[in-house]
Amino acid sequence: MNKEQQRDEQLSALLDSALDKPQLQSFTEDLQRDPIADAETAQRYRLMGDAIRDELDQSSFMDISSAVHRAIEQEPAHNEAVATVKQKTNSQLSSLLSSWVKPLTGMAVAASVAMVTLVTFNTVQNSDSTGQSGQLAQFVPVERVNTEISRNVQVASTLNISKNTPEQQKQLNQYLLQHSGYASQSTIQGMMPYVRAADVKSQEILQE
Amino acid sequence: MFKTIFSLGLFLISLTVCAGSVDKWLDKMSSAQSLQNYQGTLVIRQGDKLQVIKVKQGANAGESWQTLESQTGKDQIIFRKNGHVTTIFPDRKLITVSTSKGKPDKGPLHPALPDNRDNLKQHYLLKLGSEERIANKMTQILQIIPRDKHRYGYTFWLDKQSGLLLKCDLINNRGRVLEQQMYSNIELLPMAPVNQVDESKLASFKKVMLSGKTDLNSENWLAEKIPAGFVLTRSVKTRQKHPTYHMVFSDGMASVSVFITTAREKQKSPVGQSSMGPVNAYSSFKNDTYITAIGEVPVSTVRMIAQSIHPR
Repeated sequence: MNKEQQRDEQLSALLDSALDKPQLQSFTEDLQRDPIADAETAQRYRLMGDAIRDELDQSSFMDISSAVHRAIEQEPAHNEAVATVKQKTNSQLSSLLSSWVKPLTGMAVAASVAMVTLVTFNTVQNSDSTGQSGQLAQFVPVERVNTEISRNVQVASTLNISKNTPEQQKQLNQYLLQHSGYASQSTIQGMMPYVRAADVKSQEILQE
Repeated sequence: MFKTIFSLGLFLISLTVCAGSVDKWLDKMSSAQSLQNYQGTLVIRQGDKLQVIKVKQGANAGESWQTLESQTGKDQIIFRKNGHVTTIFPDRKLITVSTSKGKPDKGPLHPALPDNRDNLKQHYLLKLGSEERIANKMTQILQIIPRDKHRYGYTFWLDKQSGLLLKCDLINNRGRVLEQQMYSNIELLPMAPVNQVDESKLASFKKVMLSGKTDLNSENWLAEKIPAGFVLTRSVKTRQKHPTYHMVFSDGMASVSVFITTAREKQKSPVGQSSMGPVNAYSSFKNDTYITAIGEVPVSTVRMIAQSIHPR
């Protein structure tokens, strides 16, 4: 078993809360050496786990770029560069470029990962498990779902994922409104469910 | 031996005390949500989307009303009283009305509480957390943790003085917050605030009923698979272009609506899973019947329910 395979197993065990203290310590040290690869691997494992458990949903695909972003922020090279920039004069900035190469490379990885995320999200959403003609049904454009993606990767926010037709949107909005009206009266949360739907364009109902 | 029995006894006593405290807070919240006069500003966050809503509640002689006035997006006012939820669109002079006919209105809390509290505890672990300051008030945190994967978890921040729910987080199975609702400010009032919705003016507005008056014979349709604890709380035929049967299942915290309709054109109907913030939906055709399950539960739950709907 090579080092990478060993680390993958450790990561899998970590996600299952099956690492003991020394193993956890060793894994943490390892993580600090290559945070980006581990962020991606962790997300991959979680995605696989969600798929196996039949629990795929939007949030299954949402954390890659944020995990990478966090990993980059925790990276010593990044922190050192940030600290150093505060102290150096403008004339010394050119010498700092090399120390920024790694974080910038990391951001590029984050960008590509986020792109893959969005494409994957669309693909999975389109596959209807019943085998009937699947059609992506979304209330909210994907780019609005994940603040981390839009913060980190501008290109991701410009992707135009296929949306419902206005007719389909209207139908779902109508169901949501009706559901919220009843849910607000049959759950412990009181008006909360109705508040949730307050932004839905309920005027569409009137066109029926 | 004695030490072990003593420790076990202390543990059981502490559990009882804790359960008692949770019940005390549920009672306090229940009472506040139906009897407390207040007004405040509620902020709702779903992903990067924020909504701001002004909320007022008044209570008179055991009867309460609430108004919710949007401060962002489309101008609309939601007014709730006596089981009727009225949404007002001032700029279009239009109102829509949902009713809860068939069930006595016991205020905004679960109508079955506290009777159903034991049922709730079978499917959620309720435990008190620490204290935190929200909207300039000290709150008691109440965690509501699902015991299975079919529902989401909640964290409530309850005002220590009044018991009002000041903040609510909806949390998915991986511990991530899907939605936050929080009062940025709230004022407890000794008497009901002025209700700015002048019901007499609404008489000139066009009125559209969103829910039907006809009770559906619920024996026509059956959900073969629903998560434990969910019970059918409502079943009506709605007034729409296409006759639609609307069934509501609830476990006391979460609820799932199932809409069943026929004669919809397949190409115009969304099929598969959809979501809006924490609300998931799943739609599919069964022959010529179009079925949609929608609710603030994981997508696997709405899919399971939708796929299990059959005519009897």
